Amino acid sequence: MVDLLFLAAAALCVISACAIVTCKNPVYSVIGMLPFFLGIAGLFVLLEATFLAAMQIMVYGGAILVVFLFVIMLINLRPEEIRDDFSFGRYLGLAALAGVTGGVILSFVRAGVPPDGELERAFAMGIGSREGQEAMSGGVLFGSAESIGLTLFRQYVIPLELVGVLLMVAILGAVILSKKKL
Amino acid sequence: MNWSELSELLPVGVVLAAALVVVFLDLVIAHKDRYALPMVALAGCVLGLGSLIQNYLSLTTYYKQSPPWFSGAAETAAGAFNPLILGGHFSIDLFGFAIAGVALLAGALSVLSSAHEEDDSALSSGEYYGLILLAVAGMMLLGFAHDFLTLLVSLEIMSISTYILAGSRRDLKSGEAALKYLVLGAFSTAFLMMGIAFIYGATGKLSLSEVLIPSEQLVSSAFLIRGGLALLLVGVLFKVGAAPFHFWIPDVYEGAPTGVTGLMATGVKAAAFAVLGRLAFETFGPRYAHDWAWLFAAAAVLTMAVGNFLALRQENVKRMLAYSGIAHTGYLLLGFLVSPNADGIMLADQLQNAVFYLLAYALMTLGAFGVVGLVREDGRRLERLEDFAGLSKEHPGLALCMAMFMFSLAGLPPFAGFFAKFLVFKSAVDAGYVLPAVLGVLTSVASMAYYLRVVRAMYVDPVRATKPGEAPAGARCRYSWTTNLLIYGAGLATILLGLFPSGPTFLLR
Repeated sequence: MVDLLFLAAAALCVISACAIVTCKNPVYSVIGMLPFFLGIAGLFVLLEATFLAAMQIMVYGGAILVVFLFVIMLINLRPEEIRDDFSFGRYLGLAALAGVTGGVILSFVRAGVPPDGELERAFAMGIGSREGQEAMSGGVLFGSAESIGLTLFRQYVIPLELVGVLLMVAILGAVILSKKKL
Repeated sequence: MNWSELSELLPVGVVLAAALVVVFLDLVIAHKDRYALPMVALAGCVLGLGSLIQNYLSLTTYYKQSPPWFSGAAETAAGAFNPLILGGHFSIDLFGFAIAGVALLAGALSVLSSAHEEDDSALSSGEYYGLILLAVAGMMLLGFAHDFLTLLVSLEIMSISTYILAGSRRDLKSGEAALKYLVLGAFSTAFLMMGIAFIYGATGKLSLSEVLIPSEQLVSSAFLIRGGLALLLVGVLFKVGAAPFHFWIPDVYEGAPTGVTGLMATGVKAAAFAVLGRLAFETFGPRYAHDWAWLFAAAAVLTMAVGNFLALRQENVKRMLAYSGIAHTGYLLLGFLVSPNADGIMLADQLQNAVFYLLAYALMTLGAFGVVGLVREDGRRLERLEDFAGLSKEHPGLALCMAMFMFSLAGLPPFAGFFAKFLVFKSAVDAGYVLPAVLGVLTSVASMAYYLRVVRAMYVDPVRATKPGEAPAGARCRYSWTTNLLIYGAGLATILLGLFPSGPTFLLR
């Protein structure tokens, strides 16, 4: 049952991601992001990360999607203004990039596809183990807002503070790029 | 977590505070007093450097020995120097100190080379200098970062600041550079994050030195880890600008304001090499050298070839320097080839050589971009090779420095570039990678052709008339004491480093 749900959510993600990239009309592309975010939220639920699933829908499905739509409406792009100016050189560059990236990845997985159950075992030994995660956050329920808050503000408080610096960079950037007279 | 260890990050705090001061100062001072802003930014970099040196000295006095070159080389005995602080998020080792030092130097010099842009309101604003300082803070954090999460956040602080800085001149070319840099940079960060996600998913660890410690788990999830590391390396090779991930460099370097180009070519590169160095020396180390070093070697050879041969065709000096930067990434990669049977001393030596290269490269490149930023006519920026004709007659001092930077970049003695190249080639040969080193020497000889073209343009080429009917005049430069200070200082340092290459290591004792 869980496998079926996983496949459904994953298929939803992949199909809508392809639709986002291939749609000519930018509004359709943005609308395509909604099923994509829902699919990701579904994957989070299957991983028992319920708090993240709720955040995914509220932050991405709600706020970010609307901001995207606003931007597209404000710049008011008409479909006929969107050109496909892919030149030969760019195709060549893309092909080279794809080839080399694929080659690098392939050469390192040439050890072969892992036998059945190996991936699951690997995940179970890593973060997938609920017991390990719950022990780390003092016995609170895995995936809850409480456990995420505890991990974030105890173990990872310094990267969290650094994200604050990152936000300041973004604010300064908005000022310097958009203000008419500095 | 021991909070008193936070004092080890004081240099970063100083730079962050200076960034805030610059931004707020811009709001309270009169528009005509804006020349004070670069001075405050410069003071931030100098204070940061002072605080870094103070930290180094107090650590050395406390432990009665200098910090190890990287955390893997630290002794494990009780009471010995433990470079890992704040729960393993940062590693306070010599490599980190060196990268932070190069970042501060690059920041200070690019502030100096931007200080004459007072006619451009965006390039003389507090936000511009604040962003330079924030980028420098990101680079310093990247030098010390020792787990994937800190590394990723620091990398983004640095990258997003430079995306914005690239577009800060707010004309078409600058905008194109910023957009290209943003899109391709975000793309590479996606690779990096996917790689980190794979590795974390497989091992549950984030510490750079721990993810590949042999265990049953590592064997069982080798597939995921290999895929993850490959993705991670794609992201890192993109950030350092190695072929075949170098397509963005020429356009971005050409379009960005020249002061920012200098920062991108040196500080950003040094910080990206900090990540690469930690991966090569701490994560892979000699144990996995058989698996990974050939990839670095292949990337190094390809990068040297692509950079040097494409630079031959360039007519724009900024683009030429961009391709030369790609070539130098290739030489630097040679310095990160680890031998399977290397011991701690050899690894420390190699790291020291690579850091020397980063320092020498930062000085000569920032100096060269400083000269390029000054050459202009009727307020127009000139960047083409022919615009440099006659520079030796109009501005003999600048032309002499530019010639020195070119000779040094080409790797001629007695300049710093010669010893830098010699040391990384020696590293590669010692580690047993003779063929890449030989190819490095050969491409380095080929590079002489395009560096000497600049010298020929300045000293030999006839001056063309700019307007029909007018007498021909040589290249004219804007006068700026800050940029002159940068150029002559970098020129002096290039000679001194070349004559006394052991100077920086002597200071470390």
